[in-house]
Amino acid sequence: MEVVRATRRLLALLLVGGLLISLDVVGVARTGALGMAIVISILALRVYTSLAQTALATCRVRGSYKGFVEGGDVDVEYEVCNDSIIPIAFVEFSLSYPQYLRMSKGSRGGLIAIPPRGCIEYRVSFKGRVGLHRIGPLRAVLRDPLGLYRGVELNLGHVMEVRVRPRVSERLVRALLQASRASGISRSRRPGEGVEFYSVRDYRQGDELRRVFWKALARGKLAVKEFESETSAYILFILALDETTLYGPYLETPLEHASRILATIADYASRRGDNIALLIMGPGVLEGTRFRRGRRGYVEVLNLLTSIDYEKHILRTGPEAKAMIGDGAKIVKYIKSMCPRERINVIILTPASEKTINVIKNLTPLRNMGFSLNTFILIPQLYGLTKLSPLEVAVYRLKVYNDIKRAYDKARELRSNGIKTVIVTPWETPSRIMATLNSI
Amino acid sequence: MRESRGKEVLVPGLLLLALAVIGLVALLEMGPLQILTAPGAYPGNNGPLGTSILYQKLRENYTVIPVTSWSHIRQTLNPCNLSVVTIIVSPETSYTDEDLESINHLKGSCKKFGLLIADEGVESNRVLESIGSKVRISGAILQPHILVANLSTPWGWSGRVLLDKASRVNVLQPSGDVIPIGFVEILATPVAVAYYENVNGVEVVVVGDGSIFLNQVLDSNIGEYPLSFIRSTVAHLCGELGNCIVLMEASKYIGLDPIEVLRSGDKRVLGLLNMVDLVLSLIARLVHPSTWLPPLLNMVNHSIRSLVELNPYFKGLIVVVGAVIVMLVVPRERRVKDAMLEDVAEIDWYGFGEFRRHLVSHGAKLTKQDFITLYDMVNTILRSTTGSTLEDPQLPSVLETIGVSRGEAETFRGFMVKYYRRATGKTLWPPLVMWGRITRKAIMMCEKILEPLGASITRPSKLELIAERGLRSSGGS
Repeated sequence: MEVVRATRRLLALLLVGGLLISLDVVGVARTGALGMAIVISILALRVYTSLAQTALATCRVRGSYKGFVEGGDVDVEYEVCNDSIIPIAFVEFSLSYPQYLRMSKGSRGGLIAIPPRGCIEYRVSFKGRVGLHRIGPLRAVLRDPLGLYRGVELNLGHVMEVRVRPRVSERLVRALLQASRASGISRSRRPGEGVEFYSVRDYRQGDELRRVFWKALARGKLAVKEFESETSAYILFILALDETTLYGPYLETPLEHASRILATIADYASRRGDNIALLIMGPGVLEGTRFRRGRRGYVEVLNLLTSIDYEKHILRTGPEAKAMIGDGAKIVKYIKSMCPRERINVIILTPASEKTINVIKNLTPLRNMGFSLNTFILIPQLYGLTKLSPLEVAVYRLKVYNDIKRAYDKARELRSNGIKTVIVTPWETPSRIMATLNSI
Repeated sequence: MRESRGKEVLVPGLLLLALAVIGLVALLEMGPLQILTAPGAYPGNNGPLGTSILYQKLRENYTVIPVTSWSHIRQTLNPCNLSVVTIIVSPETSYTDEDLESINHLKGSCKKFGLLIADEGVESNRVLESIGSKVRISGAILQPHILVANLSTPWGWSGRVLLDKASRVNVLQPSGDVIPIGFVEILATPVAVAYYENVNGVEVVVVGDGSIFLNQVLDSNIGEYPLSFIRSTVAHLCGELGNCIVLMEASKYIGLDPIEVLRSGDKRVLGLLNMVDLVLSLIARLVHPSTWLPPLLNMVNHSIRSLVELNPYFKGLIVVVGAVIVMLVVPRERRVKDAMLEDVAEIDWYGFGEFRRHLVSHGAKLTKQDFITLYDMVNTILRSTTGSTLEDPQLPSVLETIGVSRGEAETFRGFMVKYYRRATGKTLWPPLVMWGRITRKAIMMCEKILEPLGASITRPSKLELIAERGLRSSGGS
C-alpha cells in the first residue's frame, strides 16, 4: 500500500505542465521552462510528501489527561514530536472521542505544521461526565502545501481511558446522617451506644453523668438511661441501564442523576457503617462489587460507577445482550452469589423502559428469600424538561404524557409482582430515596 | 494506534530514486574530488620524496596525527591538556592567517608546545614569525648540494648527518635563547644550518634541510643518524612520554590529479608516486559524478538538440512520446478525493428527541390531540386532589374551597368541557377552531387552577406524581 496518493488536482496541474512543454516543443510559445518548472515542482512535492509522511508516521506521540470529577474540566493533552530533520506541513488532524462527550474548550480538529526536531502540543477540555470514556487517538492526514498529494490517514498516539467519578452531595449526606440520628435507624435490640431509648437501670461506677435519669433521681433513686446499640445494614444497590438513561441535557441525564444519588447514598451508608455493594445491569452485562463495610464499600461502589462504559454497559446491542436481559434466573443467581447472607435490602434505580422493568420483574424470587426490594423508577422523558421556557415545558409535557403514562403502567406491573415501587421525578428523587432508606 | 507497518511501503522506489538523484547533484555541487596524490614530503606519500617512513617510525612511540586542516585540529584538541610537538617538513604552499592563528591557539592552550621545522625553502618562516621566533630560513640553497653537517644539541645528542640541498639558517637578533646546533663547513667557514630556540617556553628546532627526513634518506643506509636525531629531538620537545602527541604537517603539499599525471606520462613525476596509490586515486576520480555526470548530461542534451534540428517532425514525436508516457504513468497514480477529516458530531439523546429539538428551534405546533391530552392530564390531577372531575358540575364549588374564585373556576370548566366535546366529536360547535391557540390558552388557564393544588404544567413540579396517584386510584391509565 502506498503511503501517499495523488489528489484530483494533480492531474489538472500535470496536464497544464505538459501542455506548456508541448507548446514550446512545437514552437508555438516559449513556455517550456514554465512547464518544466511545474513538472519538477510536482516531483519535488511528491518526494517531500513521502518524506514528511514517513516522518509523521514515526513521530513520538504522548497523550495525557487530568480531571476526574463529573461536571469539572477533563483536560486532554497530546504532544507530537518530530525527531526527524524533515518539516511536516501540513497535517489535518481530528481528535477521536465518543459522541456523547461534550468538548468545552479547544477545537475538535485543525491544521498543524510540525517543525523538524520540534514538538507541538494540542490541548482540549471536556465537561466530565460520569463513566469511562475512550479519548484518542489523533487521526491525521498529511498534505503537501499545494494539496496535490495526500498521505494515508494515520492514527497518532494511543486511546486514553478517561474515568470520571460522580459528584457526591455533601449537603445531602449530612441531611441523611442527621435524619438517621433523629430516627434511630438500624436498631439492634441490644443496649449500647445509640440514640434510641432502650431501658433504665441502676447506676454503676463509671457511668457517664449525662446518662443519669433525673426523674428517678428526683424520686431518690440513682439510675441511668440505656440506649439501643445501632448495627449495620446490608444494602445492595442495583442500577439498571439502557439507552434511555442517556436521555436529557448533558450532565442532567438519568444516568448522571442516578450515579450522583448512588454515590451520595453510598457515602452516607459507608459513614453509617453499613455493608454495601453495587450491581450494574446493562444490556447483556452484569457487573457488581463485593459487599464491603464502611469506606471500602464506598470506594468500590464509586469505582464501579466510574468504570461505566457507555459502549459496553449502555449502548450494547445484539442477540447476546437481548438473551441475557430475558434470563431472570441467571440474574437472581448472580445476585445470590454476590450476597453473603439472605435478608438483604435492595434499592433499585431503573429507567421506566420496558427492557429494564422486565428484568426487574424477574427479581421477584428474591422476595421469597427475604430480600427487601425497593424500586425507584426514573422517567427519562422528564429529564428533557430542563433548559426549556415555561410554555415549552408545558408543550413538552403534553407530548410525552402518554409515554409517562406507560411508565405508570410499568410501576403498577412491578407492584403487582410484590416489588415496592416508587416513581420519581428528577427534582425529588433524593428525598424519596432518603425516606425509603430511613425506613430500612 | 498506528497502521500496520507490514502492509505498507514506507519508502517507495520513486522516493529512493529521487534521493539518489539528489545525492548525485549534492556530490556534484561539492566539486571535483580532492585526491591527495602528492609527490612532496607528505606523510601519506610512500614514494621517495614522501615522509611516510618518518610517520611510521614516530607512531611506534607516539600518537601521530597528519594535519590536513589546522582549524580542524584546533577544534579537535580543544581542550588540550597534552604536550604537542609539531613537525613541518618542506611545505610547498603558504600558510594562511587562519592556519597561523590555529597554530598559535595550540601554542597557548596546550600544556607544552614544541616545533620542529626541517625546510630548505621559506614557507615555514611565517610559522616562525607568528610564534615570535628570531630564527629564519634564508631559502638560498648552499653549494655544493651534498654537505655533511655536525649536529650537537643542548639535550646531549651529537652526530653527523648528510644534507642534500640545505639552506642557511639566520638569526634576526642574536640572544642567549637562540643556540646554533648544526654547522656545515663551506670553504673552511662554518655556516649554521640548525638552531635551537626557546621562545617564552616554546622550544623550537629549525633545520635548514627537509631532505634528511624523507623516505629516500630514512630508507637508506645513511638514515640511521637522521632518525636518531629526530627521535632524540621529539623526545626532548615532548618532555614526558605517553602524554604527548605529534602533529605532522600534511596540508601544505600540492596534490596531483591522477588523470593528468597519467595523461602527461611524465616519468619523473610517475617515479615519485606510489603506483598502487595512483591507481586507487584514479578509480575514485572516475567513479565520482563530477567526472562523468556533466559530460553525460551534455551528451544527452546535444543528442536531443541535434535530433530536433535534424528533423522538424521530431518535435511532434517528442510530444507524442511524452503524452504516451504521461498516459501510462498517470493512471498508475491512485487518485483519491481530498475530503476533510470528519470531526466527531456531539449528540444529546432525548426521550422525545426530535420533537424537543424542533420545539427549541422552531416552537411547537399544538393540535387537537394535545388539547385532549391536556384535558386528560388535568382531569386526572383534579380527580386525585379534589375528588371531582371536569365533567362534574360541582367542580367550581370544590375549587372555591381551595382558594380559586368561583367565576374563574366556572369559566375554566366551561372552556375545557366545550372544547373537549368539540375535540372528541360530540358536538360540531364551534365550527372553526384554531387548536394551537385554544390549547395554549387552556395551558394558561390550567396553570392558574393547578397552582393552589401544588402542581404546575409549566414548571418542574409534582404534577406527574399527582397524576400517577390519580391514575392509581382510578385503577387505570
